[in-house]
Amino acid sequence: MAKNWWKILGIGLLIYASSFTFLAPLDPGILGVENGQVEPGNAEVLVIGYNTHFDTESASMQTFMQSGDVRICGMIAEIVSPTRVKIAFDIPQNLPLSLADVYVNNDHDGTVYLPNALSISNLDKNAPIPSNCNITVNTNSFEGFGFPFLPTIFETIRNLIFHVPMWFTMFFIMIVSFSQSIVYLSKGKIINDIRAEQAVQVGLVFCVLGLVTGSIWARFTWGAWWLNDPQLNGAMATFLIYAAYMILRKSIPEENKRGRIAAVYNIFAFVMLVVLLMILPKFTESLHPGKGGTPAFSSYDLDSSLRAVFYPAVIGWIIVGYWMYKIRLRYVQLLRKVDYDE
Amino acid sequence: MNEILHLLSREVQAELRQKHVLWGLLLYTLSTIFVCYLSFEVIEDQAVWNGLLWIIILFASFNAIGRSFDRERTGYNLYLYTLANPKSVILSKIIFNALVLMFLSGLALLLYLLFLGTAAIADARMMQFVGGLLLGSIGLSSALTMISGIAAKSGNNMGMMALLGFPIIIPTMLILMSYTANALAGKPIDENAQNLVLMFVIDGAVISLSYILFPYLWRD
Repeated sequence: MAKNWWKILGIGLLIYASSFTFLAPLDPGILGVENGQVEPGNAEVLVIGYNTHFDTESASMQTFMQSGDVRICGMIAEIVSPTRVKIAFDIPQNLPLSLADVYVNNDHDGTVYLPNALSISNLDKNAPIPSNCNITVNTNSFEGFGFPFLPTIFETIRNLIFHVPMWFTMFFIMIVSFSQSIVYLSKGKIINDIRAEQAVQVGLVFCVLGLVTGSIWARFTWGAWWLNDPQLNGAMATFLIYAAYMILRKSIPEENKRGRIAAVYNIFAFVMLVVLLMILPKFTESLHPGKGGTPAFSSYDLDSSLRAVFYPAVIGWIIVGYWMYKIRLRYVQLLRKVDYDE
Repeated sequence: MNEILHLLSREVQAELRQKHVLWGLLLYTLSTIFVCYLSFEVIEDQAVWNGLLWIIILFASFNAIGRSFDRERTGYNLYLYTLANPKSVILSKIIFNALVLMFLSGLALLLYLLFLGTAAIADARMMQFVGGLLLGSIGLSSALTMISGIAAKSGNNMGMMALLGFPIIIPTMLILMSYTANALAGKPIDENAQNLVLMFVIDGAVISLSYILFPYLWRD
């Protein structure tokens, strides 16, 4: 029992992380704005919220639109349902931009907003730009425990808890394999070669899981199962490289020779993995957060409640991956014992 | 250094002694380009032109490099590698393969222009483009020579070479294609600075890995 504390820890972390993943709600946000094409004068738009409480919180509700640095207050015209509210704006003759963001605030949901929700036509560029409306604006944020509401990602953000730890785990397991290959080349003990091979096998499982979870996520956020994206191509190339490693091993019958050649290739493969998954995507345009111009995900969606789940999930998956590797290793060692009667 | 030069001249001599191999490579390149001509006639689209040229060079280089450890399967190997330092052997082979590939890719470019038309290179920066081909030859040779050594050791040479080589060559090909695409579009060299740096980083890493690891591969 005392020896296996880390296994219990890993399972515990995974139970904690997955229960959060499936139970926690998404933070409130605005899905869209209907009748967003407006002209100067009175305009009524319908704001469609998500997980919001417009009806019960009508007393504390404030709303405004923001174009550039000018803030125009809106009037609550009609509250249709908890997630639907009609807002009337008095659009001025001129504004800094022809696009405006819509903000809605109440005590329960905090501030929810939709960037570029309104597009304003027929602005008179010669008219004076109005000043801010004078209300004190609440900018409190939602205080419950939930996933951050992000445009285009919405509910699929839960996949973050599965998809990203797969790659962390694969990378960890491949480091194990890489270091075992180095030890094999310097010491020449067959056990290190077995370890390297079993680690690659487990790493490949996580690689496939990462590809599958990523593909499903891509289908729901980017609209296709596979895209020509450097991170995706790098992941696929990594899979091919390590799959080739397994085939290379199978094609060499003699044990010592196999170990040496496979170790040399494995060291090569790991360097390529670092190039493919860490260096190249940083320098090319990518849809993934944090790569080539798209903002890093820590900057906008890893809020503190998500951190409290994401990191335990990473550690939990790494522990489970290591455990799988240990089981494979024991299995192969037992097989060898039976075969060679060692 | 002397040893590398010596081994290099020996490689060249061996190559000249077996001219049919080199002629075979040339014929292979010519017939691939001719098949491309039969299927496309003229390529005006830059992306297709660029991609197809690199695919032709890639396959030619697999053919050229795949046999670099084959040629001397006999007892001569044993004789050579008891005398020479394996580190010099791999470096000389990388240099030799790079030279062969430079020659092959230059020739492929000429034949390619001859058969498939010059429409795609109307506003290309040719110096930069040819520089990319030379750089690519070094990149392909450094990544594939070691793979060829591994494949030769595994017995099933050409099949294993393709299996191991194609995934390993992907990063190099990505960078090379983006480099020559920029050169074809006539962009200044500044826009390719990042590709150049990445190319040198990968080449440097792969060559030093080959240098360190080849002795382990060789010892039989």
